[in-house]
Amino acid sequence: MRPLERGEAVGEDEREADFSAFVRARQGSLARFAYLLTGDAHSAEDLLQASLAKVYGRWDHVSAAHSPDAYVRKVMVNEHTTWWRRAWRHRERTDSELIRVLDPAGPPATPHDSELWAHVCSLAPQQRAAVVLRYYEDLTEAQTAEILGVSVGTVKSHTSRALSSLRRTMKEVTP
Amino acid sequence: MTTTDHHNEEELQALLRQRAASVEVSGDFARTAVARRHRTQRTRSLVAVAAVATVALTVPGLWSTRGSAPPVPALPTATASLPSPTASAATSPPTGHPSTAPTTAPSPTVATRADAYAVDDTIRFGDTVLHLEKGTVVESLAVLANGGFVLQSHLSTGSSQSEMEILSPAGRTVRSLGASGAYAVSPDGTRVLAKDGTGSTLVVYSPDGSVVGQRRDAREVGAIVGGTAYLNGGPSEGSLAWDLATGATRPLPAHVVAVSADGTRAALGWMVTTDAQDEACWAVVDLRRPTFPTTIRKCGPGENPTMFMPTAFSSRGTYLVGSNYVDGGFWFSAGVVRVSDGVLVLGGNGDAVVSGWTWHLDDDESTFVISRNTSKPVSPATRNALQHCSLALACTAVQPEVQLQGRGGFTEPRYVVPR
Repeated sequence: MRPLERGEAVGEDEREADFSAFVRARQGSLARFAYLLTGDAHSAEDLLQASLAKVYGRWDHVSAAHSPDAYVRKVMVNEHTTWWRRAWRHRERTDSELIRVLDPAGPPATPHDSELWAHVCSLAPQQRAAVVLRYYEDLTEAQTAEILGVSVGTVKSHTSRALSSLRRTMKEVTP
Repeated sequence: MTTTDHHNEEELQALLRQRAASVEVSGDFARTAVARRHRTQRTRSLVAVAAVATVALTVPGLWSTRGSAPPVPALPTATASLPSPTASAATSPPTGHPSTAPTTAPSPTVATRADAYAVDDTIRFGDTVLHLEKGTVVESLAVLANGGFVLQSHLSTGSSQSEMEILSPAGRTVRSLGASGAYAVSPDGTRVLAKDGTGSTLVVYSPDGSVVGQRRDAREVGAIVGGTAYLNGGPSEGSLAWDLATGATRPLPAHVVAVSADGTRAALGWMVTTDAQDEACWAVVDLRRPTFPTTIRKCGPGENPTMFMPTAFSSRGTYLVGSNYVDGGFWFSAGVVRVSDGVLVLGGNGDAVVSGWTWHLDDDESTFVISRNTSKPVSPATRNALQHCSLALACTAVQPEVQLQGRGGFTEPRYVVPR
């Protein structure tokens, strides 16, 4: 992707082609991230579509950024948090089923996999985003803070609270 | 970090990776995202502009005092004084192929905003049914001074591109206004301001389809009141008042989306896109003073938490009618705010949401007609009814509830009321 020179305009076709190439290269990774944020395939698809539609609206700016991928994740996190705050929000029906969640091929990752997953899904959106960014995306605390738009201290506090909460849950479900 | 913490982290990491690995993508998110962006823009434009016609046909008194064109009655009781379908409508140059094929004789009466509505591919008023081309999906409708209509629609089969046209009172196309564009109708229903979505020319039409004026301009349709067209421009170019008689122009503040029927005030509406979310802002400015002072302004989540976006002034200018913004936009949340203090008097969040597709405030400024989403819960939208309600939301059915079917994730209403 070639960064734009200052003042350079991009035609609509070229812009769409550039955006499409980026999305096609990254949609698998972004879909997995969306699924971990939302916990179900339909919401993940809706979230990713809504976020990419917003990103497309600002693609000239985004494509010139240092890391479009991080920008998209930031939009996804913010979009998801916004949904959660606005519980009355209309949820778009996505019939196209671009995302499918298959049954796990291997054995459960942990003996109490489903309880742990249920607990992850019950975390507040910012906490959950912090957990996913830190432990799935393997981002540093500083990178996570950048995407969440919060301080490193807040990231530490989010992950610490999430882990202690998980620890309590594990004690409850582990004999 | 304790050993337990470390163990928990590893456990969590393994779980997240396993869950993520079970996600499979089939298809093209780029295509759907681009389409969704275009659709959202079109929906916003449709809501923000077409509803300007809400105040159409509402102020005969004001117009008669100006000594301009004969006023158009707002109520069916006045239809006897309406002009019959004019000869100019029949003789105006038909542009393109008529997209409508009325199968009933013209009604002896003509439509008014108060009694007309569309259901599926028909327009109805009184006992009259005008059959549009089979498969027509009406997106918005306005009633003109001669009892004709401005129709924005697409076909349920084939291209979903939105077409705008002026119809005669009998439902025949007298002028195509272009595709994917926007329009506004003057309060007296004698002028239509339209812009084709693919062009750069704003055109003002009479109800018979004849061209009154045109101007090449990058600005968008704002409003049309009396002999002045208001073009909506962004912060860099600003909006513009365009005198149709003289061609003179006057710069206005950016984002003009509606003008009061007496031409004294303009409503501004704009979105601010941030990384966090879209913020909605609106304001009212005084057009009588050279500096256009702002009389009220509500912006951002603190002042405008429902993201109200104005689309029209009520008939006497007491209220702004509009929509509380909803992501996705496949139904809308009706909203009415009081101009004097910005208090939301209809709509809001949570249980206060009034979900529907099209609505207008009646001339009494205390009741409204709405094509309402009567589904419970409101999403997905599966039911639609035509209702007449007070601002306190006491509603009566005007037409019975009908079932809706989503198409490709997009649920369209079956009833459409004039804006």
